[in-house]
Amino acid sequence: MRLGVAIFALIVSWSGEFRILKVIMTALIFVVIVGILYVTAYAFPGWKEVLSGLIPGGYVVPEWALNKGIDPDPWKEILPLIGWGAGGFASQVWYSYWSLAPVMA
Amino acid sequence: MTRKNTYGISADTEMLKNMDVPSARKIKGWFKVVYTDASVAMIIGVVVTSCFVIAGTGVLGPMHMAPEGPRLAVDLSNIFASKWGKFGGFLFMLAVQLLWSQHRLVSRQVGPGYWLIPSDYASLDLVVYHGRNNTGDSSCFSSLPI
Repeated sequence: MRLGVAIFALIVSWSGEFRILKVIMTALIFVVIVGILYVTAYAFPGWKEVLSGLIPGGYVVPEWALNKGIDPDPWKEILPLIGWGAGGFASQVWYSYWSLAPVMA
Repeated sequence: MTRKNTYGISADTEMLKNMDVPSARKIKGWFKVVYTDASVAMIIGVVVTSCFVIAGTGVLGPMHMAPEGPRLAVDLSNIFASKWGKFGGFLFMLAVQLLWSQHRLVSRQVGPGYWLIPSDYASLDLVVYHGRNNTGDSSCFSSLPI
């Protein structure tokens, strides 16, 4: 499977043609966004709970999670998550540059 | 520099050095496009990421699940399989294998792979859970050391 992806990447790179890839990507992006919006709406716990989770001290690690070995300090979980998000945003911008390049040329 | 839907041509540095002012201003106009793009991307990124956090906690919290380590993908595929059957579980594992192991390669070498392969966002779903449980305890967010 990895070899297949690598060959696919090689073909796209050497052909210099990526219109089909952009169409596929656009479709996948919409699937992801629509899917996550649906699941979020389904599992939404209410604004009160979400907003209280953003206030320092407004949340505690539940006992069941502590029993599973999760650290009682939530920041040890939240900070890596914030860092993770930044990486995703940067990659999103890189892709935009890549997509805009043909238009800007 | 690029032409139409192709890429791979090196920038003409000589031309850039000798560019006249009107041409430079015209090119600078593209800054607005980039600024707008980055701003919109940030908004979408924040909204979608927040949705993944909420969805992840909403699904995993009530089940008292905090999957981690080598069983992370397996546990999540089991959740998927509970709704989509064995085929759904298999599909999830297939996607994880394909996307997670290769998205870095594709995104760096081809360019658009990061969006083609939304495993970074998918993994957000993997790394968070909701602290609320059936007894109404308060909430928290947790990530796993991926």
